[in-house]
Parts: sequence; structure tokens; C-alpha cells
Amino acid sequence: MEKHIIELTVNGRLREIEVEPYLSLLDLVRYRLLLPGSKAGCLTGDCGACTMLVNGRAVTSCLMLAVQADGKSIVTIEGLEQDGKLHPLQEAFVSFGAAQCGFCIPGTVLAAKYLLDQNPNPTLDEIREGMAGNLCRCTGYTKIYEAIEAASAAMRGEKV
Amino acid sequence: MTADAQESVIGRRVVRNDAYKKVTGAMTYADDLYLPNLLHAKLLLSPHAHARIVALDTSRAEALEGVRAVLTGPDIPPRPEPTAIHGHLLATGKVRFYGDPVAIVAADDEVTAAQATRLIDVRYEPLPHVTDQVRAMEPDAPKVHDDGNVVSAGRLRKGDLDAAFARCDVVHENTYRMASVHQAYMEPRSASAAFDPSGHLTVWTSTQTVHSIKSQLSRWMAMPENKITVINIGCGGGFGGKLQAIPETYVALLARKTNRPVRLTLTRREDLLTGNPRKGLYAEVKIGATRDGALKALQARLVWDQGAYDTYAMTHGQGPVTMGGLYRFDAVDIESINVYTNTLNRGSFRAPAAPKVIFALESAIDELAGKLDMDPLELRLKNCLTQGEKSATGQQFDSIALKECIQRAAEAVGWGKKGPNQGQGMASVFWFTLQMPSSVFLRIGDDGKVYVTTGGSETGTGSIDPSIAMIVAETLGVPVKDIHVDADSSDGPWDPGASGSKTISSTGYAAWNAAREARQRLLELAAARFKVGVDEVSIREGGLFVTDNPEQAATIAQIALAVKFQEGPLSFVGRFAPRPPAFDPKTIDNLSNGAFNNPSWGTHACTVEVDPETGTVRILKYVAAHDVGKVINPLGCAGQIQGGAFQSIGQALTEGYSWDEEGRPLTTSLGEYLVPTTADIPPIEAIMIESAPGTGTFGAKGIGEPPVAPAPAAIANAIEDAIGVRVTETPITPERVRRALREKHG
Repeated sequence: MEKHIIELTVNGRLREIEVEPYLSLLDLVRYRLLLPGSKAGCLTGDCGACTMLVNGRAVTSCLMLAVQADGKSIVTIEGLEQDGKLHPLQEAFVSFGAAQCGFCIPGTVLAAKYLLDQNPNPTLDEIREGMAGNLCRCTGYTKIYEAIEAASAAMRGEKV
Repeated sequence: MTADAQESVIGRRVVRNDAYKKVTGAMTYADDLYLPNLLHAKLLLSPHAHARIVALDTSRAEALEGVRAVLTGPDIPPRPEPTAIHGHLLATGKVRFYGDPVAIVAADDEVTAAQATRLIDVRYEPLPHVTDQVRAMEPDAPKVHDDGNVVSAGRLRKGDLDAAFARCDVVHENTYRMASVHQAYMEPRSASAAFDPSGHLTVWTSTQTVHSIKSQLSRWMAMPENKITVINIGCGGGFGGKLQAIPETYVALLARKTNRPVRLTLTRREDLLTGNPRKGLYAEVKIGATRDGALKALQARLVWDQGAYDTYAMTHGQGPVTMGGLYRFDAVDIESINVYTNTLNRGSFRAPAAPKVIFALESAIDELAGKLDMDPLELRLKNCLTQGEKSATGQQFDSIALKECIQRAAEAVGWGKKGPNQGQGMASVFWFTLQMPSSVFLRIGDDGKVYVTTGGSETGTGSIDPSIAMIVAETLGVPVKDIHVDADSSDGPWDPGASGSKTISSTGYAAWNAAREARQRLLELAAARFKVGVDEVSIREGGLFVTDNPEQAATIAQIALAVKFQEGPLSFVGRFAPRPPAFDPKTIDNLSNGAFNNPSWGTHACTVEVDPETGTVRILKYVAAHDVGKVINPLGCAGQIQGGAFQSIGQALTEGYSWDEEGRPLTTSLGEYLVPTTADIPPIEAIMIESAPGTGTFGAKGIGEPPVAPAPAAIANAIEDAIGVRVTETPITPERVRRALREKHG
């Protein structure tokens, strides 16, 4: 089977890699680039555990082929922390107890980042609508709402 | 026992230690593990709901380059006793449900393994199948097993039922159905196994109970327990679905056959097809009261769908006990029958029988309230059991906050305040804390830190991380940050695992006992050092001092170092064993439960809005009040209530298995098996009531399971309040609401 050489930026680092045409972006990141933070929850794009940012947009990477990521910039959960400093969303998820088993959290945090990048001051209804692509089985979502609200306030420079 | 003058740790918000790993992608789960030389396993599943395996030929699969082993039914050891705990691995002779595993392959990579399963030649002779448990009880129904379709039947009986119904002015009867639901943990089941050169087997898995998995493996593999180590790598949710050594045994058998590490990670489809979801229930309920609203009689016939094998079959026995622990009745007669069908095995799922029987009972209570022309809230307040009263099985309740739960839930939801097409409903639950024996090692290091080793498993609830450290910190007077807790390995001391709402009051109780013993020893050593009486010494923030003369002080580190080579290191073993609760054994016949240990109650209330044109139900407000005894870890406790209530709402509105005419499940992906999203779930208000202490750690009652029970009934009740129709089958889809409206209004 003919393989393809693709070039993409992952968490700020340029990578050149040879891939099979059927390899998903999720599998590329998890098994070839050895960044296992992004999770395989369903492989049908229903749960959001595989969410990554591709050129800034939240994408279910299980449904994207690696070859489609050629020339693009990918951010995974491992790339959110900058110079040892956590993103306000990561801080808020920790302090509000929004992570229980944690399996949905990488995808959820990145989807929340995308939401806040698009809408820095979302209402609760806008948060609920924006996060509907990320299933969580443990928390019942309540503390996830609280963490996103607190993080967005912190990012706007408001006191929580 | 609290640390002297130190601000209490128990009840304070303490962040879990693994939270940073979880938000940065550094948390390792079972499929993230990199093992050299790893083989990948893949299952072949049955395409028939019921069939004889006429011929099975694996030669073409074994000949494929890269395939290292193929196992089929005859390669699997006989299922160890008790079969209820040891899961069904591979079909032999017959397949009994669509998706029944027939073979498993180990190959160099996942693609080769998948290709190999397609090269296994199986010839089937399809047989008639049955997917409904009521049908399966009929004498001419297809037989799932040779000795008949009834797995077991039991009964709870108290008082004279006929006389009690004769006294009733109003009687209500109805039937209710609840679909089977899957735990739908976000992390599909995954396990890896490897033998080291000495023959020691290590299994890295996602599980709720490392010790039970080890014991099960010991029997399947015919190996002594000390040659096996099971590590819970990082559990992405269990909820009862990760108690049986199924993926673990597959990979252990393959690792032994190939002498290489092997990993099996199920796809979501495979997990939905071969998992062990909650039993389905068909229930007939008859309930009666006198005109003033005093309940008199309850009769029920519960018919459960067990699926094709008897894993965790006994849990149906919890159902009658749950039904008998909320209200005062003169007579109760509940029959509970568990039935095989040609559908996937059922297993354990967070409060196994409770959501089902509560849906039936609490729906019937509201319907009876309607016939009595009484507010359902008033009917509940009038009849709910209170301090000193007994359940239907004669268990006396000495610490019960059910009435307060009902009142607080009604108040929090704003009972009585609703708009057009809006309605309110409530439902309560009675459940147990399955306390079981546990042991914990505790050592005080000469660095002043406290090292705690448990064989418990952290599945995300927070009952180990950080609750164990909080319990020890509170008891010992040492800061939480100086308590280091090891868990998740079966090399630790024996522990019953994370299920049955038990961890804080089993593992936690053993840790509490160890810490109390350690505290006493520290006080004695300090007293000897300061030359005062033991009762004259205090501990605070890791330091000991004479209470009335604080300048006479020493750190725990100093004391530990001083005795290290004399009286030995400061090591303690904490043990805990529960005391079973008393009840009247004459009330039950052939049921797994008669009473609930360290019981708790809870009430949920909701306001919903129903669109009569589409049948869509929107939850406007949802509150959950629980009788928790004592809040150890408020972030964890609220998290359990909110997460449990959410799973309960899913079981009410969107989740459920159904099968087509061929016996194939219709929900084999998360696009069909609908876990509620943020769009479906408003913020859930968790009300934690501490007025009725339990017999658990610091007076705690288990909280993991009870919140999963009330929503289906609370929501069905709210829908009837909103638009005047009663839906008696879950999931309460828009279609079912529309159908109920059409039946009523034509």
C-alpha cells in the first residue's frame, strides 16, 4: 500500500512523518507521535474524547485522516501548558473538581478553549450548547460548567 | 477524633492529587501503555442471537503472517465457581446472543489481528431466539439454557396482603418497563498482560478492583495468587462494568500461549455488544391506601432480564428490599424473578436493582396520589419511614433523614411553582453502603511523612484520592500534603475494591483505624519523651507538644527517627470488618439481600417543560438531596451526587437497549446509545444532609450509588404533572410521550 509523507506542526514543533492513507489523525498522534493524551472513546465522532485543535478549530480527530492534517497546525492537550504554566481552563478544572476519572478531560478542556476563543464571555446556555460535543460519564457536567465560567472570568481579568 | 485545635480537614475542599495529570494529558490509561514486543488481540463475535456452532476452523487465520495465537471456546478453562463472579469468555458449542465472543486472535499489529478474525471459518445452525424476559418465561419459549430460562426466583413477604388490600379505599395497578442500560464509561475496556522470566504475571488494566481481578485470574489461570500482580493503570470510569476479569483473562491466556505481552482494547461497538449492562425490568405493581392517604398494601411482581449468562445474577434480590425501605405498609408481597434471554450478559451497574424498582414504585405512588386527589409531596411526607421505624424486612432504622430529604428537595426545586406545559415530580431511593473487610498499611517515616498503602482502586470518584489522605490527616494531626497514599496494585494489602458505595467506609475505615492506632502510639512516645501523661500531649500540623507547655515540643520526624532502631519503625496495619444489620429472616425467601448495611436515603425533584407537539422533555431544574451521614470530601461527595443524578437522567430519557427481530441490538455506538450531553443536563443542585450519621468512617454513609435511582420516576412524575399523561416505559423518548398523548386525547 502506498504511503504518504506529511508535514505538520504539533504543539509548536514541525514534524515530517510517513503514514498509511487509512491512518486517522488520532492514531497518528497517539501511536506514532507518542502523545497519548488524546483519547479514543468511540471512534465514531460521538464522544469528543479525541478532540484536538486543528488550525485553531476543535476537531474530532478520530474522523480525520492523518493525510488531511498535512500542512496544518495541531494542538493536543499536551501542548496547552506553556512554559510550565497551566492554561486558566486547566487551573479551573483542577480547583473546581471538574475531573473525576479524567478520560474525557483532554477533549473537554480543548473544546472549552475553542469555545472561549470564539466567545470570551459565554452565558451558561452558550457553554452548554458549545460543549455538547463532549460526553462525560462521571461529573454530570455541573462542575465542568463552573470551571469554564471561572476560567472565562479569569481570562477576562475579572475576579472569580 | 479530631486533631487538637487544628482546623478540620474533613469537610473541606481538597483537590485530588491526580488532577494535574488529568488536565495535562499526563495521566496514563490502559491503552496508553507502551510495552515492547506487544501483540494486539481482537475478538470475533457471533452474528447470531442463538445458534449451534456446527464447525469452527481457525487454520486460515493461524496461517496469516503476523498471527501468533488463536483461541476458541475449547481452549478456555472451565468457568470457575462461583460462576456469577467469573464472567463468560468464549462460547462453546452454542452462541447465545448477538455479539457472543467466539474466538480471540493475537497478532503483531491491530490490522493483522482484525484481518485474522475474518479468516476464521465458522458454520452456524441458527436456532429460535427470545429477547424479551416475559416471553422467555412462557413454556414454549426458546430455551437459552437446557435447564430452562428462569435463573432464580425469590420473594419478600410481610403481613397479610389480602386483609391489607381489603382495608384500602383506593387501589392502583399498573405495569412498568425499564430498558437495560450500559455503564458507558468513556474509556472502553482495555487490558495488557505480560509474563516476566520468572513466570510472574503482571496485568495492567482499567478496573475497579485489583484484588478481585487477581483472584479471578488465579482461578482461570490455575496460578497461585502471589504469582500475579494486577495494576489499575488509570480507570476511565467503571460504574460496575469493570469488575469481571474478562479482558484481563483473555490477554493473560494469550500472553501465556505466545510468551509475549498482549493487549486487548475493545472498540466502543465491541464494548456495547459484549459488556455487562444493567438488567431490564418488567414490573407489575399494585398499591393501596385508605382515603386519608395512609398506605396499606404493596404487591409487585418483578421480572428481570438477565441476558444469556448468570453473571451477577443475584443482584435482583436487592429490588424487593429497596421497595420496602421508603414507606410504611401493613403488608408487602414482592416476587422477583430473574430470567435468561438471548441477549448480552447483564452485570453490575451502580445500584443494580434500584433505578428499576424505584421507577415502578415511585411512579405508582404518584399515580395513587392522583387517585387520592392528594399532592404527591404530601403523600410521601405522610408515609415515609422515620426514626425508629422498620422496613418491610424488619430492619430498624435508627438514623434516617428521608423526611428531610423529601422536604429539602421540594423546597430547593420550588415545589408548586411552574408555568404552562411545565410540571414537577419527585422520587426517593433507599440503598446500602456495601461495607466489606479491608486492610491498610500505614507507616510514619522518619521524614515525618505518612505512607499509606492500600489495595484499593481509584476509579475517579475521589474516594481514595484524596479522601484516604484526608481521613488520615484528620485523625493523625498531620497536614494532608504530608500523607502519601499508594493504591491500585494488588501487591498492596487485600481490599474489596471500588463498588457498592463502599470505599470511604471500608478502605477508609481501615485507614481510619490505622491512623487512630498510629496517633495513640505517637502520643505515648511523646509523653515518654516529655515525661508527662499521655493525655497531656497534643498533636497539631505534624508536631507534638505538651498542651499546657507548648515549648516542650518535637516533630513527628524527630520522634520517628528516635525510635527507628529501637522499638522498630512506626508501622501499623489498619483492619476493618463490618457488622451485618439485623432483620427478620422470615420475610425473605431466596433473595440475596434482607437488609441494607449502613443504609441511606435520597430524594430528587425536578421541574420539566414538555413540548406536546414533539414530545420533547426539557429539564429546567434538577435537585438531589441525599442523606450522606457525614461529608468527608465535599468535592467528591457533590461530584458523586451530580454524576449519579446525570446517569439517572440518562436512564430516564435517552438510554436503553432494544433488539430487532433477528435479536440484534439497535444501540451499538454512542450515536445510538445516547448518553446525555451538556445540552440535556442543567446544573444539578446537590444537597448533602448530615443530620443522620451512619456507621461508616466519621459517620459517613455511602453516596456513589443512591443518586442513580430516582430520576426515571421523578421525570415520569413531572411529565404527568405537566401534560397529564403517564409514560410507563423507559427511555421516555419523545416518541413515547407523543404516543401517550395520542392514546389519551385521540
